[in-house]
Amino acid sequence: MTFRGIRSAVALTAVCATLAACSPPASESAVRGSLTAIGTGIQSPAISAWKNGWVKDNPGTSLNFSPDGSAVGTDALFRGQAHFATVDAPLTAEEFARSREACGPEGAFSVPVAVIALGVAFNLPNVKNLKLTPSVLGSIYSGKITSWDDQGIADLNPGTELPDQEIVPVRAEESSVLTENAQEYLATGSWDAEPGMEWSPDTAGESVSTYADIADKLDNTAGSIAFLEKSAIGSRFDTALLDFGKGFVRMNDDTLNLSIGYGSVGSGPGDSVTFATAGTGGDGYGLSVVTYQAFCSAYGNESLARLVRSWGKFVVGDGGQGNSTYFAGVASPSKEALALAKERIDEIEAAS
Amino acid sequence: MSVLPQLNAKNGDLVPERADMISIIPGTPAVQMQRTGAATGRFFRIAGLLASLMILWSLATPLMAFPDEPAHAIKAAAVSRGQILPAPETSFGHGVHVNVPSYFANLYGQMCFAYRQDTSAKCAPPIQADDNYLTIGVTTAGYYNPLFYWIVGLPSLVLSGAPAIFAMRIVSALLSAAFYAAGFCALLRLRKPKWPVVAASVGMTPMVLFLASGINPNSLEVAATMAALCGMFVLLENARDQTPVKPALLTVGISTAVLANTRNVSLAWLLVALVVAVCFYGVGNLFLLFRNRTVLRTILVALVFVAVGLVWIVLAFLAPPSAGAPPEVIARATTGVRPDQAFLTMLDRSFDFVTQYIGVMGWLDVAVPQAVLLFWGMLVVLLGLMACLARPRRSAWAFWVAIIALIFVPALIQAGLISSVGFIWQGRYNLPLFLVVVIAAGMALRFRKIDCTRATLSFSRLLVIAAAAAHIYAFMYILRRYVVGIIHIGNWQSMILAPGWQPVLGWPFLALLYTAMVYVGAKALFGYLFPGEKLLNFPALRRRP
Repeated sequence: MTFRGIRSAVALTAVCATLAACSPPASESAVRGSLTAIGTGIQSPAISAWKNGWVKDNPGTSLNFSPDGSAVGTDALFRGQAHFATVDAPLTAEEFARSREACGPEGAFSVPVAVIALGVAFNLPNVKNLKLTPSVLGSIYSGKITSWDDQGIADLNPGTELPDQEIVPVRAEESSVLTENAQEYLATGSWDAEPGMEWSPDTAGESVSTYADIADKLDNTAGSIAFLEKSAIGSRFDTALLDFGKGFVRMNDDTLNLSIGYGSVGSGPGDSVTFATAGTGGDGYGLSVVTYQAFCSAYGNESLARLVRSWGKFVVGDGGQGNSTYFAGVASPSKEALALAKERIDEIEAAS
Repeated sequence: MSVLPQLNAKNGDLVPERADMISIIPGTPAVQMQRTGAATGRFFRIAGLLASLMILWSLATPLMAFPDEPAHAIKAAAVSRGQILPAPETSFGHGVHVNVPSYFANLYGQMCFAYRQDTSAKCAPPIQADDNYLTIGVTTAGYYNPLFYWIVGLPSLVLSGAPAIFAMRIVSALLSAAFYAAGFCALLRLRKPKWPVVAASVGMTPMVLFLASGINPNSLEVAATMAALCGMFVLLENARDQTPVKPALLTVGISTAVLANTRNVSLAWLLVALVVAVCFYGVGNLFLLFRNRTVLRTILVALVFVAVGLVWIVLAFLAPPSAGAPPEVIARATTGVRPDQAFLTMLDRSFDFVTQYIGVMGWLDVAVPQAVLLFWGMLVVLLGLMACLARPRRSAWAFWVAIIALIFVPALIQAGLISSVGFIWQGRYNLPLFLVVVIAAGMALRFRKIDCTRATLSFSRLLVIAAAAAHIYAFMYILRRYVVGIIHIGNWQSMILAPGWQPVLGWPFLALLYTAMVYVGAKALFGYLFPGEKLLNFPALRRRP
């Protein structure tokens, strides 16, 4: 065979291969396609767990997620730059009104998808069952209490030998709903400042860039203390028992689920589903953040609507909640909240 | 038909056996046409050979198995649909959002086998051609120059689904093949072309062919740099002639225009190529070239394209910041590493990159077999060592300039980027400079005669056959990686008995075609080096009495 002949064979092969690469027609009702989500980064581990499970159940799907913040997420959703958003709080009436341009006359809605507990981790290897109140924690973070053997801490922990060691509060500089949640807890005690998404620069102690950096800082700093998500704490650090008004409570799955069990379900704009745990003053461990996902009520076509419904139903379904609990260390909203969320997601349709 | 020309053809000179077929009065239109025809034929034959090899790699590699191929494919689909510049407020932490057919947006779903050598490509779901409603696609190449993407994205306007993406790969392969062919044709015009052609052939590593067959502007950058370098050699060698060698001038002009509009760093490679070329032929010849009006006109036109490329860089630099920070896997911002430390680290890693010059395929997750790495490494080292002993001394120094550029230029660029993006350098980014070094070695050796002794013939035959075998082995090994996966025990037999994945038209057919094309290339190279000699002597069949 000559060179020209072989070259022709390759050219013919290229054409045939290109055309032969056509896939057989797929079922019209198959769930496939790509979703793009923007929003709060505190859902990142859970998103990863949901994505792995959803793609496994639905080969032919993919998800792009960018943890650029809750506000960026809702803005992207309302401008058609995201298929859904991960948000720190339910959609407000004002957000619902803005959503109608991109999401159709029914606008957008939000549903609770996970409960992220916040613990107070500390680095004092010889101290067990440390008890702290919002007032004492507030004094630590405002620099009024600077040593572990301070009388204020000793009074809460009789019989516990506390070291004469400097307390180093560690905080994350990034803007986060976890910070707001921590400050809201402190505000029930002696914390004067208005709770916000960021720590004030004159907060006592040392700072790191993000919540992801706190664990290593805690590990490397003797006498340090920090608010940290339960999944990041794991079994790496001991956590303080906190006072929620009904005695000191240790953070664990049982106490967290108790707080969730005593939570309340509500509704919001666009038939959103809201959920709140028992919180401070209620039973169980009350320091947690309920996090949401926001969807449009209608999408451009049936394939896209089907894709979003599939994602949403997986996330709030047993499979998704199992994935996020096991792999991301987050808790689930109440069964009632999840059931209502599933019903609302089922109503997502193609825009007419 | 022979791919390469007969003895010592220069500037499209007539091959001896054709001389008696036409008038041989110099300068007649018939002679000019014959020369142009011969040169054009040579170009298309070489381009055809290289394109065939690259297209076979395109077909043999699963879709989205090239580094960052989803991001580049999505960008190409967007640019070809008129989305040249990212729209306002479409840049987010994970990339730029564009509006593309759903099957493009979903290409990340193909990557189930990426970074998992033991996993065949079977896990990737089919790409449905009718998934073409427009939706959000995410690309990290949002601010890259659109030229490459516009050309490569064109097939997606008439085809859909997997065929569209294969067609895009083939267009990318054809582009690269054209530039490599232009480079080889330029080398063939040199007064002493054999060693440069040998060196350029050594430069055609499995990695170069593989990279050219995917959707990634890195491939065009490598090819255009090679073409520019070779064209510069020809221009400088003939600087004293009144009329510049037009094909070489065209090659340099087009390569310059393309490099200015490929990647931000591509013009650095062009500068290195120019410096190395001038080192071989002297600044005097460069100034002589600049006195030529045709050359000046070509430079002016090329500068227009360079200006366009620079404008693009400025536009991208001035673009509004993205709404979020890039994810860890992209950011890799390394705190506490100073630029001087990064520079030294890159120098340390100089030899670590060599495997990527030869063959690390997929998402840089599977290297070609050790035998291929060893053999090709040996070829490169041999060439380099011989070049160090080249005469005249000037040639050896020019080769050293190329080596220094390969080691220091990437180190300087990475050091400059350490604070903003961390350690991002990959060996494949150095491929343009690697080819400059290898071809410079050939140029340094060009005055050394290639004997036609029995020993030389035997040794050369062995080397060419071994190189062909290395190419085929690399191709088969990578096919195995995707068909059945590379596991801790040998599983070649599984490719036949229980293939997990099949490329389009099946791996045996593609392997056969690839073997045939490699043989054709090897035979052509050997025949060029030793006219009248055969690469393989097949014994003639004896007739029975």
